[in-house]
Amino acid sequence: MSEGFSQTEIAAQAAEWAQRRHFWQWSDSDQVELDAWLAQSMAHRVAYWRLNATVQRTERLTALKPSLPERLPIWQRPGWLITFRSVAALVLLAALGMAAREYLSAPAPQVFATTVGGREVIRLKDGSQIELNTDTVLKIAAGTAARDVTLEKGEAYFQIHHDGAHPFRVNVGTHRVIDLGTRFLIRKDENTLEVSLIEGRARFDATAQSAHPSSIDMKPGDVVMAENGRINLTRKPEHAIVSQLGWRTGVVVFDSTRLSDAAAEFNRYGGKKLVIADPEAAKLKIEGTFQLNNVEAFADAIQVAFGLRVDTRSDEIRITH
Amino acid sequence: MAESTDIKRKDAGCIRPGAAMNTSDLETWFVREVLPLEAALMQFLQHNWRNQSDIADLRQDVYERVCLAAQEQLPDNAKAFVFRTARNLLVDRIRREHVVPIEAVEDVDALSVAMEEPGPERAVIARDELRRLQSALDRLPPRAREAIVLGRIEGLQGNEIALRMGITEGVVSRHLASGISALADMLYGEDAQSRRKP
Repeated sequence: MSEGFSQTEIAAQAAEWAQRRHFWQWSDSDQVELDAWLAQSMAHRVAYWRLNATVQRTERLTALKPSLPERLPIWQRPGWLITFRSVAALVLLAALGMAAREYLSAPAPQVFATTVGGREVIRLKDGSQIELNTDTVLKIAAGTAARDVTLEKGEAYFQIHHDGAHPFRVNVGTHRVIDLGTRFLIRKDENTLEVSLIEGRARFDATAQSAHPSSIDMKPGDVVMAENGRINLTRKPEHAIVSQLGWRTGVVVFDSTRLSDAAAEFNRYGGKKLVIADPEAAKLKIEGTFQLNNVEAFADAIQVAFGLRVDTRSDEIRITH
Repeated sequence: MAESTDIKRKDAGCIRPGAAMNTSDLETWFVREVLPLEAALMQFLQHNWRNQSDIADLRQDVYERVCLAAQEQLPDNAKAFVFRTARNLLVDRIRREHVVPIEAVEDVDALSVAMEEPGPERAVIARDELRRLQSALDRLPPRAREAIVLGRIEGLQGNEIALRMGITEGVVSRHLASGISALADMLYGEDAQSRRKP
């Protein structure tokens, strides 16, 4: 199509440019040269854009650097098979027998975000692990302060490798959770904050910004709820807390849960919006384990169980009497 | 961080169909709307063109035509436009080269069902993307893979990669260039779903 060179030759030139641009020192005069080549024809541009987009897609691998474990091989670590599912690229590193390096150069905090319906596992150098649920934003401070994280919104499950010299801190709103060797779950919605401790010990602190200074030493089974400045400490049996972690395997567990709450839970994950249009139906209680990505199956189940009407539309499912 | 479909939708609002585009908008549109169709486009071309060694060139011809047209006026349905362009290109080639009868080119309307399905890329979440990247890297020739991993994960510059691998900078360049091309073919040209089958 293009004068002079065949598409095959252009593809080779574009690959040469793409590797030069992304893997070598790049100067202003290099950029001028590349721009001139791109300006020559649309064939040059589309060939380069395609390869440039490819290299940019591998950025995701780069983004994993700060959470690389310091010691390899990772398969000697407990639980790697499950925990590494979403950071599979690390397995590649191990396969190549490469030592991961410590990256202290980036001064900005690392921001990890999941989309609605998304899920991600962050593995820290110290062996700690953080799993993000749907629609969650978590920041990890850079460099040596890497054990200081901020949960901006959403829900995260922490399995923290305890280090007395460097306590792991989670900042969330006007509060802070400090681990004392621990597994815990934090969920932050618009107005509420809920911290559930599964194992170990942790301290729940108010930060300086909080109007209600408080400090609670949490034991396993403790659940701290903060809502509009009020703080409540309750206890839950272990199985109840563990069932709150169903999202880690893509399920939700309801145990005598009101239909309206169940719908709100499903709606956190995107997909068709579940609307309980009848106030009486909203009070019905449901029990069971459901796939998070299959709200239709859930609607079918309540249709059968309660004889409710289910009206499925393109973007929502309405439940009526 | 994670690929957000919401963000994409917002961006899409900025580039309106029917409008002329500057080069950087065109690149954005091409990467977001056209490249994700590559797997389907490759299937269409492979299915309708006898000489398989022409396919990569034909694909680039399609991209070139699509972007030349989009630069003047952005099509409102990228998918339909890409496949119409591909079909027209094949018909032109057949007329010019007298290789296969025109009937051999599948009617693009027959593809309309497949074309309406949302591209899998739209729903890609971080986990799947990593899995795809890893699978693609795994299938690179070993030296190309090593060079790319050293550059992208370890963050080494080309000259450092050369030292580490004990090869000349020219050879590093060749490994990197061939690695990038192969990654592009795997990440865009292959169907994400079909790769999962054994």
